[in-house]
Amino acid sequence: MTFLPIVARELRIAARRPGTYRVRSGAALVLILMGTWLYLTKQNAPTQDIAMGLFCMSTGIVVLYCLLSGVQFTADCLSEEKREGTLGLLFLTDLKGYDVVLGKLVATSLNGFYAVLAVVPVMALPLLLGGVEPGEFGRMAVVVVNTLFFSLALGMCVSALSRSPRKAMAMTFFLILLLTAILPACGAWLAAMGKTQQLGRAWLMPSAGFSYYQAFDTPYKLGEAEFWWSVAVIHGLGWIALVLAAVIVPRSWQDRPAGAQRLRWRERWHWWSFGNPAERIEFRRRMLDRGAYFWLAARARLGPAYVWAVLGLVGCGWVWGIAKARRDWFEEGTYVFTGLLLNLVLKVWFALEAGKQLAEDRRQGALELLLSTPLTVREILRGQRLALERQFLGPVLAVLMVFFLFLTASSSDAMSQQNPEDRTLWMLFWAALMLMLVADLAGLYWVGMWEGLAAKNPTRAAATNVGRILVLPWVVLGVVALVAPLMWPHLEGVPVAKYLLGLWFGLGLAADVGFGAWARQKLLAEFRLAATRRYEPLLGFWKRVLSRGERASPAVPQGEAPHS
Amino acid sequence: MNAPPIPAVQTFGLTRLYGSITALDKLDLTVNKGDLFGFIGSNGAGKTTTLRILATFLAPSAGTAQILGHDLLREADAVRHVIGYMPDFFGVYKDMEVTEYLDFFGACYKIPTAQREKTVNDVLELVGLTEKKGALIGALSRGMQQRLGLARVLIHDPQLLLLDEPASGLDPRARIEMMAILQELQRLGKTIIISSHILSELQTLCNRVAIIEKGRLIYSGPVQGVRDQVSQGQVVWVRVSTEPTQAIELLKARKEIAEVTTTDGEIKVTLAGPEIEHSIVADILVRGGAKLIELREDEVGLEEVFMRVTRGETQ
Repeated sequence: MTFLPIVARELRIAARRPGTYRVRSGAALVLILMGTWLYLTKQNAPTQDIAMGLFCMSTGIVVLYCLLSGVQFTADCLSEEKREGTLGLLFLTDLKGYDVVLGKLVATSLNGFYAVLAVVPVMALPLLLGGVEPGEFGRMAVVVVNTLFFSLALGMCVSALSRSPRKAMAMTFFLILLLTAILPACGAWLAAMGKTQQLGRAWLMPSAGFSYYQAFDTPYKLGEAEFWWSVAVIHGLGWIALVLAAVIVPRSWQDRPAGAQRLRWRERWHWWSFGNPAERIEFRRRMLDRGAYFWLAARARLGPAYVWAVLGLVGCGWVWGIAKARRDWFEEGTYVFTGLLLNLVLKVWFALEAGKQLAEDRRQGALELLLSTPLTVREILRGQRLALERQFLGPVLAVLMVFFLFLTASSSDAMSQQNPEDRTLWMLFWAALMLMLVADLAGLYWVGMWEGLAAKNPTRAAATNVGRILVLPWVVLGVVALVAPLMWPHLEGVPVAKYLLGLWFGLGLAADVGFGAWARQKLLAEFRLAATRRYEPLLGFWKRVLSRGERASPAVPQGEAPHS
Repeated sequence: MNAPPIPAVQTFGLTRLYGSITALDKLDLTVNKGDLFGFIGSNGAGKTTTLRILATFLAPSAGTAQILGHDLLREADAVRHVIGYMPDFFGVYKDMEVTEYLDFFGACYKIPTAQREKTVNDVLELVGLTEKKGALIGALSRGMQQRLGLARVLIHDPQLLLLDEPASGLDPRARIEMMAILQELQRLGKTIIISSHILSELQTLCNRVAIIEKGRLIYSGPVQGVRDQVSQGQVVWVRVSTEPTQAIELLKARKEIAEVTTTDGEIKVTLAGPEIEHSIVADILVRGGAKLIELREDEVGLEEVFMRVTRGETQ
């Protein structure tokens, strides 16, 4: 049991983390609230229907949570130790790869396991209401635990290969998406293209979504073996991922000297990213003259090219679609899908970039150097804004142009199947999307910069930025959509699309303006103070609230006025 | 008559709290122009905090400082133009080239574009990195990265250098080279405040030192001054070619001598008071017929001084 010391160490760390306690109570609370809502909205329905609705909803949320646990808990657990150089220390002892992997797995699964444990009683409520069989509940419990294990193991395997937190999390998410959704979608597509008679079961077996579906009584009775095969395949994949992680991790923790070929490739990549020496000098002079921080944040000259490349891919998809479907391609569904895809990609990418440089500077200790120079806070903010403009302004204008074309198409007579009211709604939708894109980018810029300065690491900075500006309005919208039928039952049957669009727009704008203004004020008034906070002991949430006003932070040497 | 020294740095009751911990407790410190000033203290004594405050990176909880005539709190911008700060741990942008790095910091200090190339070449030459100007920083050794840090500090020709452990992690050769560069900089008229744990080097390098413990100043002044304070009476070491017993007897018989002991064939003679000349020892021995080979003054090293004046308390 040589992995036990690692478990003990990790458990001690987890015990000090407030998140350990928040996750389990939060998870149970969310399910209880949603269950209550479902119960209240379906009061007149038969008890069995309420029970089944409650069961589907609660188990669906739990399975989704388990699927994403790998991204949250294990994707960066080994890579973080590699970056900080602590993994090597473990391997200087008698520990083997499997000790480290198992120890880490046990420790990192704690939060996920607690959350699942907290919601199992809520999941069992429909059992008491009737309408859900004990076998169904038992199978669902198996699916939940199996999915959690699979996701954590996959995250562990990717973490063993990676060093960068962002790449590790993105790769884990992609692999989960591949096995859970893309493979079944490929199978369905092949079946639709007539290559196979029916959707091949092999495409579905590794999907947690399939095992979730098969756990219900009706599909289970039709294909008992398929459920167990799916569970076994997912479980087997989990073990394969764990074994791979145990094999890879002792071989990947050391910095190996790069071979001649690798060095050549590295050099080529450097030239490709930053240009040849003459180009670099010219580029640097031009940009340094506009602002020192601008050059620092924008010196990877290919930044804009990558964004254009992604837009180009979407363009290729359109060319393929037009060639395949001809005039049928030009319909609202395609426009909406394209619009939302472009919208999401640009905003998330922008959110990742907004505070990255500042967060990296802070993490490496370079911010201390920058702040001891006469570079002002305004110059830093301006430099970052110019860098983001350089990377995103062209693509954003292009996307706005595309949205405008969609708006025009929605208003044209070609959409003759729509009634005038629908047409107005579509036009409002596109106009709102265009305004929201601009407003969200402004909000993401300010919040991203502030979080880059205040958050623990660049990944958390980006996550908080996305959470506040992009996710929170949707959560509030979802809550309002859930609560509205309870508060105004007479609205049932009234078309609500216009109101929802207005609400979405209003909430989004409120988040942009509210959080953006707050972050801007913080940046201009407390930039230097926030940059020095890493040297102060952190207080917990309640201590911060209770000590507010008692412990004023010392004034920052200004020289530049607070708003300069 | 010598002109009174002009202070480059003067702190007035500088205090810094981290929560309930007092990292710096009413520090009053004066560093004169042209000084190579050693800042000595255990880990957690408050050296880094002091340097961060002087570099305008951290704000004091109370007190203030004057740096080359500028108030630290009210004229921080002006202070940033006249200081060069090198932290103990600093980020070096590993994917940048040496020239790019210095050019960037030159731009941060608003050096005009036309001047920057020459300035970069000059500082690279000063720290001996000219041959590495096209190298990636990530490929440089630790010693070279430290030199690059020093080059960055010098890029805007500051009058005051604040160097926090500039020699930490360097091999002996790199350390000696770094110290030689610092001496050269002092010769060029820079005022340098350097914190280090390698006291033997500070002893030869610095003309003045400050010793700090638990955020409080214990001593500030010339190196010799602190030595004199801690030496308990004057000590002279003697070697004779004959049997030491005779020499010991001769010395013990005199009232000017407080104590005589032997260690590894050497005789340690403690004089009874500071007013007594060392030459009396030679006189006694020669007159008594002992054959004197060597007589040397006992010099208290900075390490011993540090051990005697501090209690090893940390916070």
